[in-house]
Amino acid sequence: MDGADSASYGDGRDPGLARERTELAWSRSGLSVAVTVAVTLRRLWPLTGDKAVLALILIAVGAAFWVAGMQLGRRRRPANGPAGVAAESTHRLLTVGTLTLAAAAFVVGLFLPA
Amino acid sequence: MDGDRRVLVVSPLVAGPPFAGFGHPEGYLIGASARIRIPSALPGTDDASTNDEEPDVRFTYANERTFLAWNRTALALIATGVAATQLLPEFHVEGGRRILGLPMIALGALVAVTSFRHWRANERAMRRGQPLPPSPMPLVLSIGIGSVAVIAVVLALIGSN
Repeated sequence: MDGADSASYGDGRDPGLARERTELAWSRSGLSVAVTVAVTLRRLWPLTGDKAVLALILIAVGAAFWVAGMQLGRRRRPANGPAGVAAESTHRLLTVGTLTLAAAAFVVGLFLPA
Repeated sequence: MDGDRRVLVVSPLVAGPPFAGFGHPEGYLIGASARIRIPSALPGTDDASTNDEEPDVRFTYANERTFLAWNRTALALIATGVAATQLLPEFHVEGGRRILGLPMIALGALVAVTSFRHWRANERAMRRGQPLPPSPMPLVLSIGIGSVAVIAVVLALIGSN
């Protein structure tokens, strides 16, 4: 009955630094989002035409999904110990954010003059 | 037997108010707040039949990192696709940059969706103590990048002499 807890290191030990590596993975992912947003925004100005405005809105929404997802992922983690993993809703939020950025990229690639 | 185990975790007796909002739509729970002792929560159940339990958190973390890594791959494909349509010099083929860049963006979207589905499948398998499902991701990415490479070679060759 107590077997489950011995594997989860409830006392705060984290021998493989799993938690720290996961935090770093989240930071890298945030950087990737920033780069993608920057590349997609690059040729958006001056904002002329509906397509450019649509792309801008999609970029903003996609970035907002990622910010919200990263906040949720972080809030679930206690200050100490390895416990606290992100829920399925958080993963879904991040996936939708990536898809929204892909839609923005598609609008930029298809309609905007190069 | 599998069905019985699942019902135990789905039961609202187990997933009480402390876990509200974090419940899994399919019935199981994720996260430290859900680490509960199912056998003692439902008296009269046989310990041997209730091994649908919270996996070692390190495995959950590894699954999460894998998901994030695939998402970064998706984002890189999207950014590269935009760069291909906007920043490359024009090919001899009309609209060649779009023929190259737009499939990369679509591939990025596909990778993002597949990574989420695979993360969820892994999470379920770990929770039920089953073998991890095979990942479709390497095949998806290999075929996709191979196709984009062929497109790029064809575009570069056409009209180059």
